Amino acid sequence: MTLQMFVQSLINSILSGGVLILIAMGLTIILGIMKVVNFAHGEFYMLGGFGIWWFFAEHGLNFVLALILSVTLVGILGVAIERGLFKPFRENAFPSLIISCGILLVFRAATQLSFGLVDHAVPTPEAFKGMIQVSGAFLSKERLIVICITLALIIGLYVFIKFTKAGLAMRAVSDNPAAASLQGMSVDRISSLAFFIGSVLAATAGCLTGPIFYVSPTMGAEPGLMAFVVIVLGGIGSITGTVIAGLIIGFIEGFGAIPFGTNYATVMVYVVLLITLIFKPMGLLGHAEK
Amino acid sequence: MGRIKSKHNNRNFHFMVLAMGLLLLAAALLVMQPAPAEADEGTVNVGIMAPLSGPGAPWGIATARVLELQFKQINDAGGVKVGNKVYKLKWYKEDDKYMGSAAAQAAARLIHDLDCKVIFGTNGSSPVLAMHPITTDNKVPVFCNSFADDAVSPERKYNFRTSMTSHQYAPVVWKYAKGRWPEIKRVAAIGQNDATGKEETNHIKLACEPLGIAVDIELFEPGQKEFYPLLTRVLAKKPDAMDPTCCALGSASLIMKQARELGFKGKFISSVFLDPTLNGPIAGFDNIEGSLTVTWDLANGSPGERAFYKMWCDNWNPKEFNVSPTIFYTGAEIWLEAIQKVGDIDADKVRNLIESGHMFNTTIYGKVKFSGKDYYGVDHQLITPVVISEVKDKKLVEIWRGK
Amino acid sequence: MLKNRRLTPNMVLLVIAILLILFPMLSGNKYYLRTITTLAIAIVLTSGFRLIALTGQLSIAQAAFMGVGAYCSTLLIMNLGWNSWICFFLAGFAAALTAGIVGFITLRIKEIYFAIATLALNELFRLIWVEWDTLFGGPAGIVNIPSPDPILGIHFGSVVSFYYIAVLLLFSATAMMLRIERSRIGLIFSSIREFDTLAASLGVNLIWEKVKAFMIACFFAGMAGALYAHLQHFISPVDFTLMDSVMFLLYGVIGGLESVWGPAVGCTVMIFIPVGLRLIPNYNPVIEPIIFGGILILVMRFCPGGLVGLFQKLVSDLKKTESQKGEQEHAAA
Repeated sequence: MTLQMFVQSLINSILSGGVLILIAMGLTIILGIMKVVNFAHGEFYMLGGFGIWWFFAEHGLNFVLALILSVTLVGILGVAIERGLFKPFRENAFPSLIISCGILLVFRAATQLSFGLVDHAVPTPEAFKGMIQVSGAFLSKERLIVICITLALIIGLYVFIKFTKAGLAMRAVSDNPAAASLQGMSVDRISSLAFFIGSVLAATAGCLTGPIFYVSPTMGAEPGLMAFVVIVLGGIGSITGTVIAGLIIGFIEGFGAIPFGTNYATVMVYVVLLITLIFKPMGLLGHAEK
Repeated sequence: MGRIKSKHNNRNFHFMVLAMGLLLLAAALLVMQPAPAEADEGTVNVGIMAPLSGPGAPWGIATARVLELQFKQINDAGGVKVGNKVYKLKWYKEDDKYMGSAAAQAAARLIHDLDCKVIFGTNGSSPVLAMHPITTDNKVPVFCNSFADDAVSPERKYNFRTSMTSHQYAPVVWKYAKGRWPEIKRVAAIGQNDATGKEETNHIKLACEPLGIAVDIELFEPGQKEFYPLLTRVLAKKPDAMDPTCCALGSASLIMKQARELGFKGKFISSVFLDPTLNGPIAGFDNIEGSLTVTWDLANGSPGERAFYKMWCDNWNPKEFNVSPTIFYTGAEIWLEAIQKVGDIDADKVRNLIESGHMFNTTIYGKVKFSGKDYYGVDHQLITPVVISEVKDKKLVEIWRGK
Repeated sequence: MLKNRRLTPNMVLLVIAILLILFPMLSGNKYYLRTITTLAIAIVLTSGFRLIALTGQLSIAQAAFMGVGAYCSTLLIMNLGWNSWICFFLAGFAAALTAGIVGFITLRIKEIYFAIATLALNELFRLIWVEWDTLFGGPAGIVNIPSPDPILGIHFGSVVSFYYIAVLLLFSATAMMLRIERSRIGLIFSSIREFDTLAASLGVNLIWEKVKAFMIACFFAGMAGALYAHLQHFISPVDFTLMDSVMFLLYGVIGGLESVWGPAVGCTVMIFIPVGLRLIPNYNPVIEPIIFGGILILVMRFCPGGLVGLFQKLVSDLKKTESQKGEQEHAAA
């Protein structure tokens, strides 16, 4: 492997890992705090993508404004779904899992019926166009920006959970909802907040990757699945674990593809997941339920 | 998950059992209703099978739209005259979800329950292969679009393919490309890791190797969007040209965009499908400038092609146009011509006419006939003219047209 | 009032059995015969899923084990020319063996982690079938799978014969699982689910019991897979995907996992809904996922115990009001 290929693979790995982490982060918060198995998480990613396409590409809004608008709308939708559908089923995996499957089917089919006959392109904003070259390897500016924003969001989220009052309340609810509510915390409000953050993170990922890739009704399927793989590999509820697992999968896809091809890299991801779970049944950094 | 048995539940057990019985009875009663679709005197039932949901939906929905309009127009014009009887068409659509099992179930409904005499559909190898036992056993002609070589073979007696595949396209387009750019020595063929992608990339290999072009095949999981790792691997082998064969519009566009981002300077030559108006927005118009493809511009083609394209634009969004409806529209035209010609809707007579090399008159391609005996063992492959176009100024420009 | 309406489960089973056996003679509609055949296969798979769920494990890999059975029987028949009825059972054993090996390693994992592990397993199996194309035919699958070999001059090529095989499989699988659940093993299974550490302290070998449940479920999954291969005459990796596994999970939960009847009710309702919808004139299949998804959401939102749970609740409510009424009448008298 030449130096150029090595650097390129390094960049590729961080890129694929970064986007995965952003999506998985939202899922780990939802699953970790509310114990709601949300199979529809990828659909929030998809809706975020459609939001940016609708506001930015179709109606010519400013990119940042369109991003904020789309992300907020998806966040509100997330809260509405949490309040209306998931609320009775916190801590109860089966019903929430089935409901989220229902949501997945409905959202996917509804977007397909409304916009879905073509894969929609989201143009890259002028400021983000162009390429950067690092020792023979290529990196587009739009991807660099996505990495920066992802990094900022991860750090922001970490600080929020570790050092703010709301973050503390979230952790308390996650550990023991009954005790937390006895301490005067509103479990309802915390859960809504968690779901809001979760869906906003997924939607942000959808908005940011819109210009890099394209927007289609089935775009949430693969990331939604991989997000589960990431959080289970990392340990549910652990932000550090999610970051590590996301990077591991990114590196497997980035470097594994070079000698074997991408189809074998996918096989390797699942093998690594299974082997890890055999030796660490709670994921890399997960801890046992009390 | 909670508790299972308590005394209370046990008492209700009888009721539960009763309910089960009632439910099954209801199902059975529902089932025993007479089939609603016994063909009336003077109507003939035809089936439209298309992927109306799932990843193939863009093709399927477009196909269903066009076929429904086509049949409606035929009925409005008085129907089809077969022998000395005039039939109206009654059509049923079914969703195969782009899956084999769903296609078999859908075919069972169209044939056993609705008594359809012909099926127009579907896209994809797995659905076409899965419905073959039902369609062939019941002597129902199928006009399909599947890139699998297997979809057309002597034992699939009533399968006809009305689309050309990469097996026909690749030799023509690569011969032309090699003649024009003799410096092309190495090609990367990139396809989806499914039946279609494997066949396509293999067809490219078969076409290129006699021309002295080495082919590297790379496959990716359907729906994949990040091609940097794959392309890093591909570009390390220094290909002179690339064939992003896959029919999935978004994936092919992203491959071309990301290949350029990673510094690929060679040509894109597509032996399946590439249309700047559709690929351009995602791939970037500059990135695909100068590419070769076998797709051609219907809007500026022959009068028939223009009329077809206009029909779409008059009724639906031009942005949603794709090639899938053209295939099945042609299939329907051929079947209708065949039953009028032989004066019977019998599948064997239709098959004999098609195998006899009859020249069919179609709107889009003009006079066409079925061939393919030397490769598939049976003349069930529609041969249409091959057109090579080049992308110039964000448009497809026809540069070569076969007979 | 209840006393003079004594219905034993066995009687009802008998009635259902007679109905199912007579059905092909009452209606010759092959489409419905085929639908019920697929329904029977789905019920076998879903009951297996439920049996595993009894031990507290959520398996999203049932379709993969169905695939193991399908590929095993198909390859033995087509490459080695073995008798298809022997292969039919071998398919079950192959799936059970695979399940035993896989289960021994993975069943230590619990809860959602196990679910995702099985999900990965399902993908892994699919990728093996896709990549190893010299043996498994790759993504194009295996075509022209023959019908089962004739027995005593009876040929098994028609839809009706598949229907009877499927009904037979359904009954034997259901009877077997019912027996298991009502036996000591069933009690051990639910003890594991309720409180695994306590069960272990009482001398229950957790892993072995879980593996047992897994193997029994996958044995029937494998047989169902072999039947499926004969029915379709064609198999490919896309027939045994994650989505199919998730479907069995959905059917089971919609029916209600608490009851033995849950899988049957769930599968029947969910498979017959699309069939029923098609009786509506000018019905457009495009909206089907929305209806399907809507039903999932509504059923789960308002009766998390599934349809059987809902029915039980209705009955107990009815009885309560009746007994209250009786008491009132009694008091009035």
